[in-house]
Amino acid sequence: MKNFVTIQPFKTFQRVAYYTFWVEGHERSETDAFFTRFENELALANDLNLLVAWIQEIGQNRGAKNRYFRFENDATALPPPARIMAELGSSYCQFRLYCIRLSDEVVILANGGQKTSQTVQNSPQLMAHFRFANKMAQQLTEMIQSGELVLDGKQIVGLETIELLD
Amino acid sequence: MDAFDRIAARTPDQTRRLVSKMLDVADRIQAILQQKGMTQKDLAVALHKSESEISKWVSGAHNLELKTIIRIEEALGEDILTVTKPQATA
Repeated sequence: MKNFVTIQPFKTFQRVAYYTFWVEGHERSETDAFFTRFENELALANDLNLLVAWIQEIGQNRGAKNRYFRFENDATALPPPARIMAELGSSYCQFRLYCIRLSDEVVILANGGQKTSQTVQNSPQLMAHFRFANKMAQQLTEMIQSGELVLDGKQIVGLETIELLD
Repeated sequence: MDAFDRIAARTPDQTRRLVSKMLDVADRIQAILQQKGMTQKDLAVALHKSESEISKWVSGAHNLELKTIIRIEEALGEDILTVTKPQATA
């Protein structure tokens, strides 16, 4: 079965426009599904607050510089890479929100979850989202290289429905 | 208002200030490196650290200890943090 995915605006700030993926037939966009899923989990509230604060600070004041993002094969992820620090607690931001950074001004947020192990392969909740983000990243890279998708500042020109490959 | 907006609305100012200050320090280190034509590798060598460790420092999510910041300042020969001092009164 083939799934069709659209890219839609998610949040726009002064320096960065964040977009998201919406899979045909799903009730919510991928990123809204992520935040809705964890919104009321009290034990993870601080981690989620940090993640949102990073997205807003990068979006409003910094720009989506490459070094703020973790490399996750062809995709990227937030929060920025960091060693676990005592001041933030041993459970410092357990979340991984996968994304595709197209420029300093355009980031497409995907879905994510809790990273419960050293590697994503051992975090079953994350694996599907990791694969989805990487598949999308590969297709978007090809579309940019072929000129099918063009960035104009914070705008993505030529937003089309993307056919996910099996 | 979606879930992101609701979470943003409840996020304490302290969390925002923490994120902002961490990114300020990271951006300052990166700016000095560029200004001096140095790479992260050069800084790593000067501090006897791995390049991946330096990469974490300039990502903005690393909660650097003050003594680490001082070591970086010494290696770079520039201030990273400056503290406003009260003006002396007559």
